[in-house]
Amino acid sequence: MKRKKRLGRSFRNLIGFFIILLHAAPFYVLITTAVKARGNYSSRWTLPKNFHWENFMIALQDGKLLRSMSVTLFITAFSTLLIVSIGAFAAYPLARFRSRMSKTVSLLMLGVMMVPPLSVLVPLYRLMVTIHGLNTYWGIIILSATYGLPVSVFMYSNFIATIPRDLDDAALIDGCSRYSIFFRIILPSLKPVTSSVIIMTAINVWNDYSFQLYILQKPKMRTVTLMMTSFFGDGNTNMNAAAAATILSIIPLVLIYLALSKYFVQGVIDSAVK
Amino acid sequence: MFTRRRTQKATENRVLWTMTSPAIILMIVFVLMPLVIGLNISFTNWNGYSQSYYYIGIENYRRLVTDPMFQKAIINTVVYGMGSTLLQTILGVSYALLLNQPFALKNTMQTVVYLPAMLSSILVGYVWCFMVEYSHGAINDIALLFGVSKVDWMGNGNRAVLMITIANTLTFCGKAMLIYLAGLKGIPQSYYEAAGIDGASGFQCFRFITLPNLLPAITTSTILNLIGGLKLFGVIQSMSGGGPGYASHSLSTLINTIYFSYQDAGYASAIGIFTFLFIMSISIVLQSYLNRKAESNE
Amino acid sequence: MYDWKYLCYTKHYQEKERGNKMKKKIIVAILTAAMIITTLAACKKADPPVAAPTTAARSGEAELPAEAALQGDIVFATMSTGALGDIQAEMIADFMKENPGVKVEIQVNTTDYESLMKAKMAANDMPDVFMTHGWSLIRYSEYLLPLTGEPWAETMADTLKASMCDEDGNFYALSTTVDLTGVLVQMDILKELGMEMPVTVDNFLECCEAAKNAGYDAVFMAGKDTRSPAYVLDLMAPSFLLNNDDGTNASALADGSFDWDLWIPVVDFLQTLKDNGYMNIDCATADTIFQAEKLVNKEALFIFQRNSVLSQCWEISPEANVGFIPFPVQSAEDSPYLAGGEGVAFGIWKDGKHLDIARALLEFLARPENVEKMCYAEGAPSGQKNVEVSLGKIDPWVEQWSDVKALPWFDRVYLPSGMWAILRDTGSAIIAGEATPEEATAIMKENYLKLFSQQ
Repeated sequence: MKRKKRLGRSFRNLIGFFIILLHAAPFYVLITTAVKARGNYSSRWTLPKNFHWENFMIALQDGKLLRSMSVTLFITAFSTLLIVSIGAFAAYPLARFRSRMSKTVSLLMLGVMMVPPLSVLVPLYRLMVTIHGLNTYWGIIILSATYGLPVSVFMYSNFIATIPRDLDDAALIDGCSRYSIFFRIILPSLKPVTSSVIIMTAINVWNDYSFQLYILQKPKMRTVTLMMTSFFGDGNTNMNAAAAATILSIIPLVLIYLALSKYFVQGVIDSAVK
Repeated sequence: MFTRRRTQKATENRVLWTMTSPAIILMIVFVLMPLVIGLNISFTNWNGYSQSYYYIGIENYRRLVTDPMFQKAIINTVVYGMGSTLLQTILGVSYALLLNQPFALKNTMQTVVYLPAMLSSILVGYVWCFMVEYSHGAINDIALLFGVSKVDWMGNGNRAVLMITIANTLTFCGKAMLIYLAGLKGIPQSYYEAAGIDGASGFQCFRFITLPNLLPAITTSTILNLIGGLKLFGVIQSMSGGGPGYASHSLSTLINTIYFSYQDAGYASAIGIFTFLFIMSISIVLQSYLNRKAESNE
Repeated sequence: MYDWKYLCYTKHYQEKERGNKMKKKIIVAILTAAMIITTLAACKKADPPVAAPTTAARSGEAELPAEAALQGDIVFATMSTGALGDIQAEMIADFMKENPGVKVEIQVNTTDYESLMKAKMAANDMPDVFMTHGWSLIRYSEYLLPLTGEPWAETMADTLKASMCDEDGNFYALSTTVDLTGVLVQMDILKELGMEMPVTVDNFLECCEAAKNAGYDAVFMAGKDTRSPAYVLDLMAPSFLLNNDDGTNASALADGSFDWDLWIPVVDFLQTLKDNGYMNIDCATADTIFQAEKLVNKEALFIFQRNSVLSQCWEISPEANVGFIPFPVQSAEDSPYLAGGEGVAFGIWKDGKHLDIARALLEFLARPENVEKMCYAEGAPSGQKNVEVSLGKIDPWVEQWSDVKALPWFDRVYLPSGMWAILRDTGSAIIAGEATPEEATAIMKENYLKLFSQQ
């Protein structure tokens, strides 16, 4: 029995190892490109003899990475805050009241997920110009929040649906208003799914390209994604610095993921799969 | 008794509206209104930047019917959506089954598989460019190692679509994997023990216990993957730009090209409206199918 | 059933809650601290304050009334990066020093510049001064201030007039350089093959054949960017249509009576390059990011691209022996030509709030010393007459071809607005093997007639 278990384990380790190789391949190529000198055209699988860390310095300086990271962090944090709060708030009645009205609203939310961003880009841009929302933090935060709401509402309403109604009914009989039910009973139990919502929406806002490109034109307000893609643009053919920049840009997200990953799985269990 | 139920319904409605109102207001202002304006534009011949344009009725929509670029883009979009979702489901379930059992590399595997999903999709496309490039690409280097001659992976329309689907799958299967892992963890061990007592084989366990209990997870993951795949933009744009020619365009990249390169905003808006309705109908159909399956299982 | 679930649920969460609470608190604290620190860091990195405005007028232009010092903030949008971008930033800084009451914000965008400008045009929200990269007349003129009355207008180079002036003689941008484009060539390979610089199309194809037999890519085509094949069509069109012609084709195109069968040889040229294997195998999918590499690494002989690629080559390897030559013509009697036209050019948004500052900025940029700096950074001849420029590495090449006439880009003058996209479309279809020259020509004709009638 023990031998079988150990055999099983080593077999799984072997498969796991190959899967890791397969998925890590693009990143390995990225790393080798990032540490090579500019004129080095050797195979992308081989590491150079000398590691050229200056590509990372170029990425940091030309990309003004620190500033763009702080800008992006700021925008992501507040957008996520809005998405979580407005989303949970809106998900409660949608999960509890199964009327035709709530079904239409749910459909509306789902529909927002399906709008291709470019179809609404120019009217949206004109709208932002009219309300003077261009080049402002609140402008991009509200936009990111709006387009990130559907996922949040989706996950929250699924989760709230699994909280037994009896709790609500008991509180109602005791004379609680719907609002206090939400704040006192439901909200505290939303913690697990909140971490999954945070991870999902924060990553989406951080990596958003179209909105940030058109709304944040001032150089001081450029986000990480804009900085990274400028390395791949027409004016710059330094692929090595571009690769270095890409690696640097992913580090904060990896840290957040590692910190919250346990809660993420738990949250998904509770919200998406019951 | 009657009045109490009525007032209860009335309070319920009031609460419903108040609590959802911030979300609804944001949606209406920033999504519905621009969408309606987009609909308006689709009836014009606007070029995207001039202040003047004139209405041409349903001319743009009539163009959709005979346009080969549009037809190829629809086919591609379905391939990207369905293909990626299918592959991601298979990979996701398999990885999740693997990760549900203990072994040393478990946590590393989980992180590495999910890692690409954290890159901006445009960057993912560029990274894959390094892989599929003809002269110095990583994949071709491996091919040379095995004595196979170099292949221009993106050179043929169908191959390009295949490569993009693979890139999309490998990048985002981490999301599916986590959802399925969570789903697996939610199945009580007692089910398997009971089945073991009854003498069920591994395969029977999978088919009758795992799969049905995974259905909610499959629904969630499939819908999210499908919408993502149908809307796919960044990876295609940076890997192939829609090429060669127009062979690998999805509806989203086609909208982008027609809007900006062809300077035909009216036609692009028409495609946009079509895309929106297309994705919506597919999702609704899929969701009702999966919901019916879930209900029939209970 | 419900009760059981409910009991399990509350117990499960009560137990986890305490553990989770602690971990959650720590993480929230760290993230909040990170946010606060980075926000403070972002705020601290504010630009150094502009020098305090003085009442004395130091604008330096004789045109403005002496008492009015320029005051205000304007936005300057450009596509330039690298050396050219740095020069522009330097000049803007000098302008701000001369006009202490003025603050100019520079916005740089490369790949997405055009899309961004189009969205901004749609919302009528343009930058005060922006780069028009060759499209001042055809695309942006609706939003640009006519600049015919400006003091530097008289010294505008004559070669620019054809592509920048409308029927009334108005033009809409200051072009500091004249864009000069030829065929990029890797001279070392040419020497190695023992070939001379090609003059006619036949010479050119001979060079290609020799290159192919020696294992090089004769013409490198970065087809992923559909502009690459379009350049070949656009740049070779004069060779087939305008050169040994007495003006019939030109006037036929102007009045819409052009015989489109004459376009087939132009497309055929591209088709020949593909059929004979003179292009790289991944011609339809190669990315422009690798172009400079190909020349420096001696893998390609010719590229149909702008001279900015040469600057990139010299950035990678200053010793690279690369340059440009005029386009091949039909026969030895035809005069060779380069493509010229609007280069590094800037226009003024006509609805801007500070037209005076914008015009002062253009006047500043039009000063001979600044034009010279711009030309040196770009490696192109001056757009203003009477400015002596020495152009660094590219100088010997520009010198060599100083007598070669510079024709405007074919589509900017002879094709109606919107045909550039069709060139891109048909060009990429040819190199992808999706259309024959006849089919491509038919598409050109159809769109030409449609767009012509819409003008």
